[in-house]
Amino acid sequence: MRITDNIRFNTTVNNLFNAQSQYNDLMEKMVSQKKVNRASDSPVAATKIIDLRQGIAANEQYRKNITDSDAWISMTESKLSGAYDLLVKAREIALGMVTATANAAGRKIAAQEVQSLIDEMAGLANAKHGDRYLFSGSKNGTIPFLAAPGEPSIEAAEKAGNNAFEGTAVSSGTYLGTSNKTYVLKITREGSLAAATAQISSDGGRTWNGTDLDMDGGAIALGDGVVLTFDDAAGAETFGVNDIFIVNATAEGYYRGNDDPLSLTINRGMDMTYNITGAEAFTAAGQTGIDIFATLNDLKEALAGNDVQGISGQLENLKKAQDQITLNQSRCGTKASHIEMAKNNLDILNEKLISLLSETQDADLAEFATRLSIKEVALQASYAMAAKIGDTTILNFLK
Amino acid sequence: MSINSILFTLRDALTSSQTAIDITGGNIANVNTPGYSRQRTDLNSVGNVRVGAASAQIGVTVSRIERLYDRFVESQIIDQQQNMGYSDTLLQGLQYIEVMIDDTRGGGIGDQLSKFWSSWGDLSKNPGGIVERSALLSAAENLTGSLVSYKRNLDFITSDMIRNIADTVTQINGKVAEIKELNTRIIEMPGDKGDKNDILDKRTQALKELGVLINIAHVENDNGTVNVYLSNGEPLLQETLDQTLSVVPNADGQSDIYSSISGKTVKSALTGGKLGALIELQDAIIPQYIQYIETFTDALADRVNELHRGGFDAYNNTGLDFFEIADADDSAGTIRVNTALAADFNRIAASTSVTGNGENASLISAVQNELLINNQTSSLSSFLAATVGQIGQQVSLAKTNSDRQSVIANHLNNQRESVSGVSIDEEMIRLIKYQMGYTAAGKMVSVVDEMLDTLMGLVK
Repeated sequence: MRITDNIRFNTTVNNLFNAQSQYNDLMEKMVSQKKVNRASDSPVAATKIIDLRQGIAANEQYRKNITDSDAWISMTESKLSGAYDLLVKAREIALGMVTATANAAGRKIAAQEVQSLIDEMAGLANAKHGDRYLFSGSKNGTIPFLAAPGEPSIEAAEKAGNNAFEGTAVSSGTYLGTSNKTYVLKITREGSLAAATAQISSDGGRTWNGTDLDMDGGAIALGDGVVLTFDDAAGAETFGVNDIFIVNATAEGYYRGNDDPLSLTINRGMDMTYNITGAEAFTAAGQTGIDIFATLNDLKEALAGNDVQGISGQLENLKKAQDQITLNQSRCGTKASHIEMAKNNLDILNEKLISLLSETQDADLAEFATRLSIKEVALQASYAMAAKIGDTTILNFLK
Repeated sequence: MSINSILFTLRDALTSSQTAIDITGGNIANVNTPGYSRQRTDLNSVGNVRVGAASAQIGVTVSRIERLYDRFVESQIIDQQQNMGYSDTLLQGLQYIEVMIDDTRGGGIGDQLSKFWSSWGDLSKNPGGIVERSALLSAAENLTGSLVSYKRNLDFITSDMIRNIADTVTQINGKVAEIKELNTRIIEMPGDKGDKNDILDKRTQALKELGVLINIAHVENDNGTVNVYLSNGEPLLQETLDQTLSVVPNADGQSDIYSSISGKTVKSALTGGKLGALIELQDAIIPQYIQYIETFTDALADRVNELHRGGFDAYNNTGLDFFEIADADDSAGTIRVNTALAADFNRIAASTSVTGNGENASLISAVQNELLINNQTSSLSSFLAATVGQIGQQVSLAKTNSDRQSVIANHLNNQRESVSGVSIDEEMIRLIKYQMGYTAAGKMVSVVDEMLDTLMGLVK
């Protein structure tokens, strides 16, 4: 082949460019310490990196959820164990006072002791985690237990803040239910009382009755004796779709919270209920059917009234109350170990994801440093060649 | 035969050597001229002298200036230019898209999306929290902002392509006109003495430059002119009859290319060169990425809105749509957080009950794992990852292609240089050769002069 000057120059320049571009590529990887700097460096790795990073971010969220529910559970556990100790004390008092050696005066003093136990118990049952009550169910802005048992009550109807309806909504009736409920009425078709339809929920809006109800007449039975009456000012006020009306109804007793579970996602697709409601722990709705506050109160009354029969009658209930607390403590334990397991799984998974990410994306510096020095030699050789290119010509010999 | 005739022969020898040296000088001068083919003087002996019964050639003349070139290699280079122009332009366009949507280093839509989900997760733990609500709002606004800017960037690249197509078509028309002009001059200069060499060089160069822009076929006619055709056989240039291409925007806002002769769109024939790549980017590649981001946006907004409408806000009202899309045909470009929510974060529906249980936030946070796209086979983030993977794949393929094309082009250029390129070494040696010829002829003149002196001396 006939080699012309342009061939020599082009070849030299191309080789130089190649060496430079490879050197530059390695430099970028060394400096960023990543072997994938853009998607085209390795499309498969790029896809993997994005997936892995999303997985790690999601795990971060699960980990936060785990930490939070863990704190909530151990808080619950410690309050329950405090409650257990109080019940043990109450039972000791009862056992001491049921014997013939005890007298009326002693029992009066014991009654005062029981009162202070009740106060302590109320303190535990009304404990907060952050600014949320531990035992209120999902109504965790409401103090869960009253100092004295309340009668069944129906609270005034609430209208949601952005309802279209501006007439009045009044609740009435006598609550017959045994647990605290939040009734919700949702308008499903707009219009006047005669035209509008609605659906009803008794669990705060999580589930609905499923069929549209006519609102003709204005008085709607929400269930368990709760009635909601509307006044649309003779048709002047109309309902809008999704107008919400709320009536809280509380059953007889101390408890003011609800039965709703609180749950958090602790792993992909794994939700966990992390609360124990006051109803389960402290009221007759619990597993052994003992209302702890009522029992303690009855004990106090019996002591104050020097009623030996009454005192001994509460011994069995106190035992059951202890069982009820123990059961809930063990539920806490189960939840805690569940969380611990989830946390360990998550840690292992996260470690794997992080090492996989590092493997996919991070540069092996030793390897790249070696490759860089090889390329450096090649680049220097190209420069040396380029510098010599003008030397080999006949012009040097024509003198 | 007279002594005088020897002087004439020597005059021819001197001028021939001088012409040869002149041509050598021209070669040296054009050593770096792109498209220049080296030239060589063809020397022929002329005139005859009777020697007995026969005659011998003794004079010399320059019969023509020969241009050394390889038609086959030149033709291959023109074809190769089309591949080069195509793959380089395609790579460039794809790299624009890659830079924009690449998320391998983080900080892109993928990260915004993760923050959006984890903001919902935080809200689920404290549904009434002001901090959580406002954090969610800003995460959502960052996410919609990223989507909008992603779409804007793609729109920007599209308009860049449209501008580029118009420029390229203008360049093509200019090149075709230039070749037409050269054809005209070739017709005006019949014969082949070497006086057309620079015109032929220029035309080959113009064909190569045209090849970079558009895929063409060219045929050389008997009279030395070339015809240039599009790949569908429609002529761009027949001897001195040329047609122009024109750019007409179509209903989708893309550019169509029409020919001035048939008046029809010739877009389907434009598959190579810079123009072919620009059209592919404009018609297929960019719309595909726009489609991806629209699919992503629609799936995200539909699912989050659906869940959000099923929840209760802090006022106990049922949720509104979380995202608003002003123009369904441009969802990524017009998505934003519902203005009612943006103005009042209490309207974020975090709970599935009016007691504020935070469950709805949990449900929305779990959308990250739902398979919403591609017939329920892919989650939002894996869809994004696949999109990034795809552009990475396309760029990496285009890069390999472009590298391969430049290797081929280099090889072909070297072949061409080998035939037509100027070698200084060779020219210098030729220079020495012609110089020696010139010196020898000069020396002869003085010898003949002496001979004449001698002859004149005889007369004295």
